[in-house]
Amino acid sequence: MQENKKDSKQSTGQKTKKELKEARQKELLAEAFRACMEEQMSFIPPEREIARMHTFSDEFQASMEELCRTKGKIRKQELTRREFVFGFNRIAACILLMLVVGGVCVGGYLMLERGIGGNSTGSTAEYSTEAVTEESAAGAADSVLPEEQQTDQSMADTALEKAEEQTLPSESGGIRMLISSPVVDRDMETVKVTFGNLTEETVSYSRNLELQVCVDGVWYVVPRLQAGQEDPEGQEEQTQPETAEVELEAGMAQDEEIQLSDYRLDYEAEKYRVVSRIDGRLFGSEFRFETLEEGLEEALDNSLDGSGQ
Amino acid sequence: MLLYLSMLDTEEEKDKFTEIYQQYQHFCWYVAYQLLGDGHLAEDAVQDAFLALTRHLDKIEDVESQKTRKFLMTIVKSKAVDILRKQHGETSVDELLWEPADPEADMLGAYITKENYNHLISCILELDEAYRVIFEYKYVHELSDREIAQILDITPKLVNVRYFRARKQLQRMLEKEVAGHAGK
Repeated sequence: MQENKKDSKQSTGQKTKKELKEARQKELLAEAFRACMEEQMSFIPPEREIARMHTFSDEFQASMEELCRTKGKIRKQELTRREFVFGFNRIAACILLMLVVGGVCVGGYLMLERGIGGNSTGSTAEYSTEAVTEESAAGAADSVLPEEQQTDQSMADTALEKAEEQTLPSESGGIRMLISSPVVDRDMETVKVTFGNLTEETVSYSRNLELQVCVDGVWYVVPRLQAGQEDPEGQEEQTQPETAEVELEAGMAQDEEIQLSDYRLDYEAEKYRVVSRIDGRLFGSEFRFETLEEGLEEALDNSLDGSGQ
Repeated sequence: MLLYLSMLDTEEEKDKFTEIYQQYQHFCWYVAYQLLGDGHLAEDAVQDAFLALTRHLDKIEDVESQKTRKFLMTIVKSKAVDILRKQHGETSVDELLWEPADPEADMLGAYITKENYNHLISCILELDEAYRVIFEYKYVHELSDREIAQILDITPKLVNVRYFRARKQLQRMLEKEVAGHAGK
């Protein structure tokens, strides 16, 4: 241990010695070159004498006047065209990077703001707790509000009720409930859900699919639009029998669809899930809507593919 | 925008440039003339030197100082050397192929001692001006390879090649000088 320390001390000492030696050599070289330059300069006559020796050509004087006037700006620009292009590209890249970072920050801030707003004031955020709104209006009245009401949310002016089950499986005991795509386009009208029965017995599931949204890690039921609120296309679905039960034989799979136009959606929400009851047990399968960036990227890819072809 | 701003020159800079030119135009011409032996070529070298200076005005603090005088001398000499190179058809590519830099073979440091100072001075005075200017930029004006490259309008890699060639040349001269002195 002591030997190691000694070795490292020695090597550090040698290193320092070497550095010192190099610095001395450098200084000596600098001194020698300075001395030589001074000697060289001592042979140069004064400006006036040289001026008598040589008269600058008109061409030279004209170009030097131009250089003095512009401080070589024009020529300098010609000379540094390569640097200019390189610099321009670099700055453009920096600006683009700043815009992206700025966009991400603003987006993140807005999302955070919404999240916080949903939990606290509920005045400006899209998500706001009804209970907290009432709380701010009625002061201490919050303590007497029922627990369920306190945890309710609102989304896109639609009151949300907390889901009875927060954790739901998408697959259990050979029964599966899967969404066709975990990320759904914003312009999609329906979401396809596949029910699979890998057990050896027939199971039944409810076609009355429920849509739930996750806000700040809590799942809420998204209500169907009331009559008159829904889109014309959604009216057909509204008439769908609520208690429709479908039997699914062993080893079979069945696709179902949930009409998105039946709901008032917030595409910026964290995630959604489709919930159904299969053989008396609740199952849920999650998805989210694509972000605007993803949508733009996709559109760009498509356009590039299109132009490439 | 930033780039545009960086391209703008202040009036102060213009004044400084004009002042330097008025004060050193003949001096610069003389330095170039000594190397080129042609008045018109010397004018070209002066013009090139002042053009290069426009991009390095920040390195000049006091227009009348010896430091500025030396800096201008080095720039003009290097521009005159460039003209000579062009006359001899020596291109940058040739230089790179001719001799790669080999720091391992560099033994110049061993000869740079106080005892050898006078030998060093005599060798520097005899050293090819093309090599001297590189040393001057590095040791007297303390410029980086990148800065030297900007002034000489070559790549930093080529500056490094020239620097190692210059060191090698000085080393050879010092070896001879020291050996010759020891023989006496």
